[in-house]
Amino acid sequence: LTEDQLTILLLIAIGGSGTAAGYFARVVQKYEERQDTIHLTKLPALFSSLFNFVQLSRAFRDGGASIDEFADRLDKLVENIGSEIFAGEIILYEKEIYDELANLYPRLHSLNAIAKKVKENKNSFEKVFRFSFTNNQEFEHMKPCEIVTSAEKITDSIRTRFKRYKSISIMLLVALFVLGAAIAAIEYFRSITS
Amino acid sequence: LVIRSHVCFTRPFLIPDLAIDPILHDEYRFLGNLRAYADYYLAHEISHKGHGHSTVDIEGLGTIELKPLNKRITLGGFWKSFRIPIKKEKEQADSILFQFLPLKMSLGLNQISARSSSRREMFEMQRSAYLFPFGICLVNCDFYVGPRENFDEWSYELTNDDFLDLMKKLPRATIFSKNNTNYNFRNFVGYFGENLVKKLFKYPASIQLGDMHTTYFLSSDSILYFNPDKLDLGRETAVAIAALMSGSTILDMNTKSPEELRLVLREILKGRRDGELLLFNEDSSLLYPSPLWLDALKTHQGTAAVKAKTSCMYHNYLSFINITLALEKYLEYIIANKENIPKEKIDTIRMGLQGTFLNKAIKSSHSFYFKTRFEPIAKTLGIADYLTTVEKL
Repeated sequence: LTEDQLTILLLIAIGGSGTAAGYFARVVQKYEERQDTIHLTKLPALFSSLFNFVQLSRAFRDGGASIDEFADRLDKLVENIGSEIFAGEIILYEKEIYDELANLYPRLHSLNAIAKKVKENKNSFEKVFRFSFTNNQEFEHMKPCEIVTSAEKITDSIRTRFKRYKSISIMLLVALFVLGAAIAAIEYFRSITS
Repeated sequence: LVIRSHVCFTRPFLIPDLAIDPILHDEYRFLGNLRAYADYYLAHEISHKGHGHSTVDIEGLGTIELKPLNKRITLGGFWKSFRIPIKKEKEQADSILFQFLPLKMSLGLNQISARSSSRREMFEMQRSAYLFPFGICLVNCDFYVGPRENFDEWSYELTNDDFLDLMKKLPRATIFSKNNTNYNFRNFVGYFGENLVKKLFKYPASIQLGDMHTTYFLSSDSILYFNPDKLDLGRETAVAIAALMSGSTILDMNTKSPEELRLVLREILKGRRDGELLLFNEDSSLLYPSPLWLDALKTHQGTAAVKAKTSCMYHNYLSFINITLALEKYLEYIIANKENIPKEKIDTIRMGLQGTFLNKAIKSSHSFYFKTRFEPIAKTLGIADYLTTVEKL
């Protein structure tokens, strides 16, 4: 090959790897943005709604919240949880949590419908409904106690995700640093031995 | 619907000769005279088995004692509404009110077998009879449906359909007796009644059988509730209970409109505690204690207290049903046969009724559970009308 040809090939290689690196950086950036959205926006919102639901249920069980308050707040919480689930991001990146939520949501929805009915008939059924939160009893084919426990488990899973979450860029920088250090070390030992 | 349930079949029979002017064998003469009856009652209400009670021998059942209810029971449970006024007004009210305290005959523990849609079940049942001196005897057949203690390997899970099926078949199922004389509950009452009057009277006397009433006492292992107005809450429970109360099937009841279902459940009576159910119609009653009350009881006093209180509630209700059905049958009879019944007999019952839970006793006994429940039940059975008629006789 002539010197000119080599220069062209070198330029093409540099340009190609630059484009690939740029594309790769863009993908990583996008991915990181989505991860940030999920971990810094969606999951905290879900955590907040579910945590509120658990606390509200406990307050209702212990007589700290009336059926009116319980039904009204539950209605809003179920709406919030629904909007987070149906937004879709979680499906792609947090399959495990999504499955748990998909299992919980219909039950929450039914509990909400029942709470509304009990609210309408509160004189007759409020105490019995409240009782079903304390003793793992069935009320309209569902056990409110189990729903609260499931919600609590999901909040624990979300909390674990928070703890584990690390930025991909930082992880890549650390990886590159480690790789560079490793190459330098290998070269150093090679120079000593030769 | 059912995890644990106590069920009792109650069938009254009338002994017209005892209601009119009986000629009894000497040893049973006290049944025809209220003063003598009261003396017999007072003399034997605290004595133990075999201590001077009159007995009657019935083939296949053996020697049966005519035992007054124990004083501990009459002063503590349902019967106190009759027994306490007697204690207070010993002179006058004694003999009149004693007519509402029956003699109990224990007819033994037997087995009964019935096949539900999926399997054959065997139940142990306690039979007893209550004889009122005004001429009514009620045979009770009490048994338990549900898991039994010391039968760990037997997982008992009756579906609603199974339970309903069993309840229809049990009154006609064979009762196994010692001497292989096998009866079902329905014809056993006739057999017992005929043999009883044969022994009591000097001449061949007759009996008139009444209709059977079934009492269901459901346990509180699960919450039962339904909204009778809209049926928007607990519809499935309402359907199952309606099927039980009407002797129908769940499938039939499921096809009914809310209005038709409400009609079946119309006799719902407000329980004293939250979550309690008490339903009544001519054929059956259903009693379900408040799960909230039992839970609080369990927390504060333990499981033994729950067992004791529910047992007390059930037996009080049975006592209530027994005397209510006895009065219904008797009042119906005296109204229809007023010409044949001596005036003093009518006066006695009238005076007695004035002094019982309809008037005086109900007011003096503040904790009387059935105080508010008698009125709608009396209306359903027609007793309210009978009472008005008897007042005018």
